[in-house]
Amino acid sequence: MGEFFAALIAGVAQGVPLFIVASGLTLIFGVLHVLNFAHGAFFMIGAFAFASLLGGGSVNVLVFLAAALAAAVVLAVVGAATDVMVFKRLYGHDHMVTLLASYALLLMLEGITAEIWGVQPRTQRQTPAFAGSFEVLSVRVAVYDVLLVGIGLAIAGGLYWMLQRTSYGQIVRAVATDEQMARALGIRARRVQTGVFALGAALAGLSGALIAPLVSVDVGLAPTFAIQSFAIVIIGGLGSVSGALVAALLVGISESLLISYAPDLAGFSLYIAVALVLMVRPRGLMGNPAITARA
Amino acid sequence: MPRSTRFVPLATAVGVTVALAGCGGDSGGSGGGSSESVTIGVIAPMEGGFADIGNNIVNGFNLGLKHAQEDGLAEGIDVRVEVKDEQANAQAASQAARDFLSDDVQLLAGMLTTPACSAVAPLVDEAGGVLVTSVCAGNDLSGAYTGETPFERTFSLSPRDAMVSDALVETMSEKFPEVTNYNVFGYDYAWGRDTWGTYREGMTDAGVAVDVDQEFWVPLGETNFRSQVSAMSRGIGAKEDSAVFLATYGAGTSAFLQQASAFDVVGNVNLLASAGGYYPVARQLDGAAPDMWNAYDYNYAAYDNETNKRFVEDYEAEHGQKPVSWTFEGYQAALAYMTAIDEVGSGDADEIVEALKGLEIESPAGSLTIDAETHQLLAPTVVSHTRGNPDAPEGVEVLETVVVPAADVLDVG
Repeated sequence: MGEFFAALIAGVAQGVPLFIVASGLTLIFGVLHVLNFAHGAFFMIGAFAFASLLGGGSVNVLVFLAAALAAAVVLAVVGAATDVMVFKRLYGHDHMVTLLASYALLLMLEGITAEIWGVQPRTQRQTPAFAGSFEVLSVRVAVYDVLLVGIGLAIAGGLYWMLQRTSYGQIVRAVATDEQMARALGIRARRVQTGVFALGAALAGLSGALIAPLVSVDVGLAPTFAIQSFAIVIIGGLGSVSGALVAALLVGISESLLISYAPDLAGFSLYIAVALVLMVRPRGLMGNPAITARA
Repeated sequence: MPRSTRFVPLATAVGVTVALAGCGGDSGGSGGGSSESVTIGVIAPMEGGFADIGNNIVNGFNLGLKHAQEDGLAEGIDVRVEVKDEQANAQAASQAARDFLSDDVQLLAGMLTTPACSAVAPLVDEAGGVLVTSVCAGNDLSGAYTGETPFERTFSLSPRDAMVSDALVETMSEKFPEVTNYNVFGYDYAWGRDTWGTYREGMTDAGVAVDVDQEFWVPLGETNFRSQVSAMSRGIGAKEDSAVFLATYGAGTSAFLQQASAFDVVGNVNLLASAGGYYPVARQLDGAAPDMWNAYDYNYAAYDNETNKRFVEDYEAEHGQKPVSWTFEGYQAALAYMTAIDEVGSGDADEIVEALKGLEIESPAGSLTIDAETHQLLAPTVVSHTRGNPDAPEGVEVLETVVVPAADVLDVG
């Protein structure tokens, strides 16, 4: 039982970072119907910006959180600029066009990042308050994992609240459902779309910042996390934030349980989940048929 | 919308995801020319996650070329370098090699991955070029273990994987005979599994009864190891006889060490060992690197001679950092070509092949010979004991270096 509990906790810790990355991606698809492969690059830039702001050194909690938010703001600006300069011209075109444009953007942003920060990998030291672990029911839990889970749940809750409980969310949903009708009702759809794109990019930047203390910060981060977050979005359902959360937890916990109980299968959980979902429920666990069909 | 079109975006996303997942990287080579002008084509990963390795190879190569010219090698011959991106995959490396060869650049050098070298070597044989590999270390790329080279026109300058593992075995079996319970974390592909397999077999042969407590194999490129690290921390036994063996490099090693620190995995074992490139990771950890035993082919403090001193000082002056293994490998490739061109008096590929057989080069690791039959440079392997120390140069303190001669780990030479 102890082993199962430990694997469960480790799985949640593994899955939540994936959700944080995927949340912005699925939000952008849900509203703008853009399969944004540049999302991985936004994530990578967030990590670089964060590590750059902190200079790789150990800082206190407030500085750490402020730098993470600053990285999110930087990426919001980058996202808004990207939307205005690239995607705004492509809305309404075949999704393949936007997909290719986003892939080209990914390559460009990788190149720009290498020019700004160089190709040498760097690390960001963990804040002392978030380092180490503690014991719960004989299971060691990393302090930073608890923080990530908390932030992940806050993001999920915040996005749900914004989309479902606010007037801005109503407008966003209106644009996502029927852009032309929304325009006819006087909604400035383009502005809403840019705002959503900026928010999605900000979430990518925040996730890059939060994951920076756990990984090597280098240009290889972009494709790695782009692939995984796309898989999470596919499993959860294109455009579904809650689906992405469920999918990320499912994948993280599955992987962790496989590592503990079927190590030969470990590493395949993501692919098994994608294959199963595509066979049994092609629109994803919580995919919105209307959004999927509209795209 | 018809049902058949509803899932087009989904299918596209899956397709592109799979296509992206398939993107990898390898490397390419160099060229030849007349007695007046010779172009060497260097193929290395210049973009993406392995770009740092590619930059080191190219920078090392350029410095080797410069030093060779300063020393009067290939005097009167205009030797130039062109670089193409390997992208860390065999397909791109092959294309780069084809492009070089079709442009009559027949002397090729560099490359990171074994699949890339394996793909390019037959092309070079067929086209009548020459390939001097820098990093790729697959056991089958030279004749080090068979006595006869598999590729007539390819020469391997870095140690084979098994040479590295065996050098680590020689040192660890002597220094840590009491450590028998191993926890293994490695990349789930041929290099990772072969590295650990050779080490385990070697330790057993050396009389250390290796017991594998846990094994975790992760895909190359993965960096989210929370589940593996948590499971490993739960399964480690008594500290005095436990070890963690890392069959990873680069970002994988860095991410493992960062994520393992929360559970003090490294602090709970007596030995942390790895085979393959590690110093750049230790440097990257900026004084926080753990106590590590690592085997590869170079550390800047390994050799006390004028050639190494000049190599380290000039590289540091030019690039602001100490050279690492990849720099050293690029540097040696340039020295090998320049020495061969000097002997031949031109860049004629056929003559260069003959010159490289049995060629002696003055490397930072001493006077080394490329075995005429196996095409393997008979260079020592370096086992380094390092620890992060903010006050040490580049934040890494080299506590001990053991130089294992090639003759100790190979029957030939």
